Amino acid sequence: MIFSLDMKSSTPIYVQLRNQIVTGIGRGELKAGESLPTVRQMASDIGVNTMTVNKTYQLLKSEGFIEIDRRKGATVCPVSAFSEKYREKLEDELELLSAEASLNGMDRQEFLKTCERIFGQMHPEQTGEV
Amino acid sequence: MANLLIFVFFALFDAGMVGICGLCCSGKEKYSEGKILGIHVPPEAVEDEEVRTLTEAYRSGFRRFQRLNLVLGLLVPALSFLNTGIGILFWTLWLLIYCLAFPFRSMRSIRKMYALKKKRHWIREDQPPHVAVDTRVGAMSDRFPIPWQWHLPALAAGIGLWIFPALRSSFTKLSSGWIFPALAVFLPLLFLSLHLFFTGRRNEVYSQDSTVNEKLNRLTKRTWSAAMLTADYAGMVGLLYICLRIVFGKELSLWDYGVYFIVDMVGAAAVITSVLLIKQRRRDILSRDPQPLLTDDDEYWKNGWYSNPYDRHLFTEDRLNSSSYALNFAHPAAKWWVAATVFICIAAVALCLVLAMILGSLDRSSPEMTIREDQVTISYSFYDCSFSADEVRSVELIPELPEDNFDRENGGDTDTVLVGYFEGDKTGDTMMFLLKEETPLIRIELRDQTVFLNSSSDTQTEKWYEDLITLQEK
Repeated sequence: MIFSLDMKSSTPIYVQLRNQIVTGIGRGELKAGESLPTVRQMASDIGVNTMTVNKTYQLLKSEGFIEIDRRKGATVCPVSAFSEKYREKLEDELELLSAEASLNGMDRQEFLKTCERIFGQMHPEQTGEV
Repeated sequence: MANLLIFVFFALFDAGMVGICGLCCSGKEKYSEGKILGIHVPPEAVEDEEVRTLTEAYRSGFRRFQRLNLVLGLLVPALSFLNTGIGILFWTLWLLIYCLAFPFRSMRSIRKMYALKKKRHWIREDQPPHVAVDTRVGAMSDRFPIPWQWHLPALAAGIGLWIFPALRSSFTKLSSGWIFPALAVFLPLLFLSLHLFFTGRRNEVYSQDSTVNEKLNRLTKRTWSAAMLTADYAGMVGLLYICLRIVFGKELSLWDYGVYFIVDMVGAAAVITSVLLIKQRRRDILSRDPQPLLTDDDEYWKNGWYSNPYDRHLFTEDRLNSSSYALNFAHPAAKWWVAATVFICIAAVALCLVLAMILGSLDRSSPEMTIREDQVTISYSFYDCSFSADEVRSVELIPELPEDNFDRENGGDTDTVLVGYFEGDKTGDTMMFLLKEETPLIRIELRDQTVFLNSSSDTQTEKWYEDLITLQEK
């Protein structure tokens, strides 16, 4: 998976990195079981401190998107079962997005279409190359 | 003979250096990898009149610059035939000027091309200067290079020369003999550091196709690691040969240095081959890539040098020479790096000036002897010796230096003179004030040392001898 980060953005690098990896997993560009670079290698490739990457990996691990093994390093987790806890989180975020969309003049139909189109791009793989 | 060796070595070095720089930086005026003169421009920029003028000026200027420096690189070492010190001084100055002028020319070209890009509004807003990462390449990149641990046997061999007392004593007996086993430890450490530097560099993203990125990063890291290993082992074989010759042969001949030089050249050839191989394969792979990655980070190169405050790397791939590195001037350590480089350059020139002064002084002056009352003073250039008549045990006029192995401790041993402090296996502590081509010599035995002296004329030498005999008889 190839992604890019905007170093000038006001969004912190660790958040950008987290979002890019989650999007990559969602799109199926990063498959379940696929290895991520080591913290040191990822930091070197981006040109940031290892602490930044470590923060991202710990965040992704706590969210259940990756697992970190001493020998294998960081690998992508398989798709997990849908939980009520996640529904609550999604609803909170959708509420804010819906509010912003309506305040920007978007109608309900358009909003749903956009959601459908973007969701349609997501093809997370259950298994893949390791 | 020494001057001939200096000339051959420096001339070969200069020709090789100018040649490699030429190979690495030539052709940058052509549209390649989406760039002209290191700056991203659209393909239609090739047809632009101002771009044509700029690229033509770069091409012809680069050729002139390279040809001029090739000639200078061959002529300047020839000055050592006139005077070794002057030859080394001018060679160092030429090398410094070339090493400064070469990147300066590149910077100027990049700056002009960027200014033209801005003028033509070729800055692509849809290709922001984002940092691209290929996770697939990053996850496997530790397997690209040959493991650094392969340097350890060479390092162990170098350390082994110091561990065994029998070997160690052979080197310390010789004047400056410690240099070779010291190099046998230093060079593996140097090549190991370079190995880690080249293979630990960031993985570059050239294409939207991960396979292309993998091929290129694997090629670069594997080739550089192989080159560093070859250079390390070639250097080690050459040094081991020299060290074993010292241990078993006691003396080094010109032939021994020749063998060392040839073996060492294998390492240099490996590095040159790597540079050319990477350049050629990179061009082949990228020319076949249908999905190049479009990222325009030229704004960090707008002054001709790299200055990116968002990049924590001190070095990055150079824009006009992918085999070289450019300093990130926005990095806090860059100023220290520049200061250290400037200091080394000034120190090198100062050292050469001192050497030139010493060697020039040797060429201009000749041994002098003065007798005041019963005090004799002999001087030549920066060296002098003073003793009284009652310290003299014997004085003789001899046709040539006695058969002995004189090790230079502090002094000069050039094609024409022997001056300073020496130690002979049989003679012991010795001072020499000799012009090599002049005979006879005066041998003065003192209580604690032996002095050899002559002059540019045999009449003068004989007169000094008679003066010394008269003084001794008094």
